[in-house]
Amino acid sequence: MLRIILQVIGVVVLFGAVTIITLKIDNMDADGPSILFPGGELVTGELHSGPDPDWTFTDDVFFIELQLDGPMSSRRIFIMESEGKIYVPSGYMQSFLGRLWKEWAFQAAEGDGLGVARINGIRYERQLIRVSEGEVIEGIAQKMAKKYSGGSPEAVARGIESISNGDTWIFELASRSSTSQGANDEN
Amino acid sequence: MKTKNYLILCAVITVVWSAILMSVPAVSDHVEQVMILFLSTYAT
Repeated sequence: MLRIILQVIGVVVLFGAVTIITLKIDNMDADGPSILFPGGELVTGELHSGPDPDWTFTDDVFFIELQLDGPMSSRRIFIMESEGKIYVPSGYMQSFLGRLWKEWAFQAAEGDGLGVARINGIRYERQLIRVSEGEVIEGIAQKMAKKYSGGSPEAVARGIESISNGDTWIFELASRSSTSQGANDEN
Repeated sequence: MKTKNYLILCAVITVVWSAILMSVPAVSDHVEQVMILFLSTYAT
């Protein structure tokens, strides 16, 4: 009897392992992510040049594809526009599973943050800058709650608390030219 | 089940299931949706 139970457990574990390994390998060099698994470099789509657009059009965009240059990988992610800037969230940052799932956020925060966002098929070169405090958080939390959690005052409060206690990380997708200009101004 | 038959079963499962995941997008999409639901539920 014990032998049968162990064999059944082995088959279940095998299904899980085969699923994760197959989907991870199948997506790792793809032009964009799958639903859950990271993809490779975002290759197709017009590369935007010139000044930033009016980002309010992203209010109608549920997901975008976000590539991180170092290491090269891309994932599907929410997007929020607030006060003319765009932001992406990374949740579950304080749990064990979340740390495995959202490894990219640690890489973005610790690295140079260079990346590319593909929105409605157009690629935008951006720099990810983590935002963890300030008045801007309230606007981001309101937009996040409105787009993804129903928009109730409780959802906004939960969002602000989650950002404040570090369970949700927020990154601004800043223009690379504005960030390099800022660096030049400081020198 | 004898060990030899069990290992053959595991090999067949590995080959067939990975082939299905790679060749039938609807199946892999559904599996990924289930995995996201699991992570969203238990990664808190």
